[in-house]
Amino acid sequence: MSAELAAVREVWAQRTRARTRGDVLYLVYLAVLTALIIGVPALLAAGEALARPDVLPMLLAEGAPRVASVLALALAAAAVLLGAIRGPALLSPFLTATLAASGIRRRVVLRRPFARSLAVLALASAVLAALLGATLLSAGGTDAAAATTFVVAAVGAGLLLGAAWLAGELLTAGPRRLLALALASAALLVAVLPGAGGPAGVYPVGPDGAVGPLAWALVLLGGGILAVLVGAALLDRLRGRVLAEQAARWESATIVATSGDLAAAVGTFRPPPTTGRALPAIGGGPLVLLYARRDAVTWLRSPERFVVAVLGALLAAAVLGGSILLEGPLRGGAVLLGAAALWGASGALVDGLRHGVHTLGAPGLFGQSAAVQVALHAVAPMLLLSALAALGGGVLWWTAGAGDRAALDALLLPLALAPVLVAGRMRDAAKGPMPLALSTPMPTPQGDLSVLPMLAWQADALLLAILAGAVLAGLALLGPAWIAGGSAVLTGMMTLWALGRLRALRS
Amino acid sequence: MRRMGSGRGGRDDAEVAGGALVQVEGVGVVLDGNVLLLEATESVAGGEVLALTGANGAGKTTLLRVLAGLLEPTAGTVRVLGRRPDERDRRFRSALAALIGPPQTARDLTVLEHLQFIGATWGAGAATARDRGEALLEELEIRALGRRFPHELSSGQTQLVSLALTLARPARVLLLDEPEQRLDTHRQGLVIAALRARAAAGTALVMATHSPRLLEELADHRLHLEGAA
Repeated sequence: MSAELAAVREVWAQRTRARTRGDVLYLVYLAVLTALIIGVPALLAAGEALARPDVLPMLLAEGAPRVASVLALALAAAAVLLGAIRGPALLSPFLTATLAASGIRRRVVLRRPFARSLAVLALASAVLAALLGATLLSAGGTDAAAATTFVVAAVGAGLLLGAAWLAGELLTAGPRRLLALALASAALLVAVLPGAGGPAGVYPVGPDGAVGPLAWALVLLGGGILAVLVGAALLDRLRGRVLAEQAARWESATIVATSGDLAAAVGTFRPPPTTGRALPAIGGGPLVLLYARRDAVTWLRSPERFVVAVLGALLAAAVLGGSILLEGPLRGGAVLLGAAALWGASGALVDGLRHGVHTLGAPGLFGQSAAVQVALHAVAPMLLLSALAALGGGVLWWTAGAGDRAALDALLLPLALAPVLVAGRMRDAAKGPMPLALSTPMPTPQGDLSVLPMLAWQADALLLAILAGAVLAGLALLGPAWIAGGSAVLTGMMTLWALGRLRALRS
Repeated sequence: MRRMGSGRGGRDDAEVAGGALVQVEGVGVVLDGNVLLLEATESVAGGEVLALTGANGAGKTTLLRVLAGLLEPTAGTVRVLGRRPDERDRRFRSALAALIGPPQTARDLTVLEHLQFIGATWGAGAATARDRGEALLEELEIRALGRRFPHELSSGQTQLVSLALTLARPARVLLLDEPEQRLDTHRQGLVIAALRARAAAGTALVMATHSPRLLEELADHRLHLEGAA
C-alpha cells in the first residue's frame, strides 16, 4: 500500500460511520459461522432434494459437460459486454473523483473493489458447482474427489469470468465487441462440435479425457489466478471518464432502486446511443411502416444491447421450448426462467414504445395521440420477438430431435408468449406512481409486512410475465389451439390494461 | 395586473373580436389555496404576437399551460380556435404547438431524424419531411447539429433544437415559454426572424418572455401579469 493511500485510509476510517476493527472481525465471524452452520447443511439438503429421477438424467446426460462449457463461455461474453456498463473495479462517485483522480496509482486504489467483485463471482461459481456436486454425490453419480475437483475448477472459472468482466471495462467499444464476439463464437463452436474434451473434462461425470480432471481443474484455477494478476496490473489503464460515468450510473441506480422505483433503476442502465447515426431511420410509406422502421433502425444504434437482447430472447425461447420436454420441478423452473428471460430481452426492443408514453402530458409534437403512438411502436418489437421466439423454440426442438407434437409445442409456447410480453411492456410503460395505500403499515408479530405489497407492485410486470408463461405452459398440455387461444386472451387483457393506464395517466 | 400597449403598433379591435384564435376571459388558477395566476383577459388573432411579461411566479407559464390544455383554469373561460383547450381533442392538438419545458426527445434519433419523424407523423412524405427538417436547421443555423443525438447537445443548442422541433409541426397557434433562454444575441435574432415568419404566415403566437429585445422586435401587444401579493 502506498503511503498516500495509507493516509487516505486512516482518514476514511476515522469518519463517523466507519466500521471499527471490532465490527469487521464480528462480520467475518458471523459470515464463517453462517456458512458452516446454515450454508453447508442447506447446500447438502438442496443436493438431496434435487437428486430426483426427473433431474438426475439431465445432469448425467452425455452432453452435460458440453452444456456447462457453453454456458461458461456465453457468460464470459456477457461479462465482457457488462463491463462497459458496470465494471468490476468501481468506486463511489465521491471516491472516484477524489482517489481515482488523484496522484495515487489506480491499481492501488481500485484493488479492493476489484477483489470484492472477484470474490462474489468465485463464490457464486463455487456454490453452484458444489450444489451440482452434492446432487450427484447423494445419488451416487460421482465421488467426493471428482466433486471437489469440480468446485476447484469452478473457482478458476469464476476468476476467469472476473477477468473477462474487467476486460469489458478496460477495452474501448471496438475491441470489446470483438472479444465478446470471439467468446460467443467459441460457445457456439463448443455447442455444435462433437466431443467433450478439454476443460469440460472437469465435469464430475462423463468419459475421462487424455488429461485427467484434476489437471484441467488446476489449469482453470491457475489460468484464473494469472488472468486476475494481469488484470490487477492493468487497473492503471482504466480511463477516468469510464470510471466516473459508471460510478455515477451505479450510484443513481442504487439510489433509485432503494427508493423502490425498480423500473427507473433499470432505466439508468440504458446507455445513450453512440453509433449508427447515418442509418436511415425515417422512411416513407404508411404510419405503421414509418414507426416500425424507426424502431428497427434505432435498435442498431445500441448494438451491444441489441445483440444481448437477441441472444437472450433466443436462449429464453429455447429454455421455454425445452420445458415441454422436461418433467417436474425442472419443467416449472424452465418455464419461470424462460419467461423471465424473454421478458428481460424484450426490454431492449421497446424504447420507442416508452417514448410514446412519455409524450403524454407534454404539448403534442407528433401527429398521433400517445395511445396510437404506443400501438404503432408495438408492431416492430412484436414481430421481432415473435420471430426470435419461434427460432429459439425451433432450434431447441431440432437439436433435441423430439417428436412432431412436442416440436409444435416447443415452437408454440415461446411464440405465444411473445405478443403477451410486448403488450405487457405497453402496460408497464404506462405505469403511474405507486398508490400511497400500498405503503400503509401492516404490523404483524413478524414485523411490518407493507414491504411485500410494495415489492409486488414494483415487480408486477415481471411477475405477470412469469404468470403468463406458466398459464401458457399449462395450456400446452391441452393442445396447440389452447396455447393460441390463451395467447390471444392474455394479449388482449394486457392491451386493455395498458389502455386503461394510459387513460388514467392522461386524466 | 395591467394591460399594456403593443410593442409594434396597435390592433384593430373589430378584427380581434371577429378573428381571434385565442381568447382568454378572466382566467385564473388557484391550486390548494395557492394563486398561480390572477385574472387574465386577452385575445390574439392569427398573425399576431402576444408577449406575456411579469416577474418570476407571476403566472406566465401557468397561462401558457392553460392555453395548451395541460391545466384546467379554476376561473374564467379560455377558447383556442373557438374550442375549450383539451389535449385529448384531436382537432385542438392539430391546431396548437407549444414549447413549455423541454420536449420529450427520443434518445436514439438524431436531431434531423426528429424533425423528419415529426413531419412524417403529420402526413408529410419522407423526402418532404427531410427537406423541411433541413430547412428548419438552416433557418436556425444549426445544420451542423443534424446528425447529433439529443444527449450530445449543449444547453443553448438544446434550446434551438427544442424550438426547431416545435416549429417542425403544423400549427395555427404557437405557444412558447421564454424562447430566448440560453441564446446569444445572434441566435436571438434568428429566432425572432423565424417566429416573425410564422406570424406573417397567419400563426397566432403567444410567448412568455423576459427579453426587452423580443418585446421590441416581435410583440404586437403585451399582457403584463402580476402575481398575488
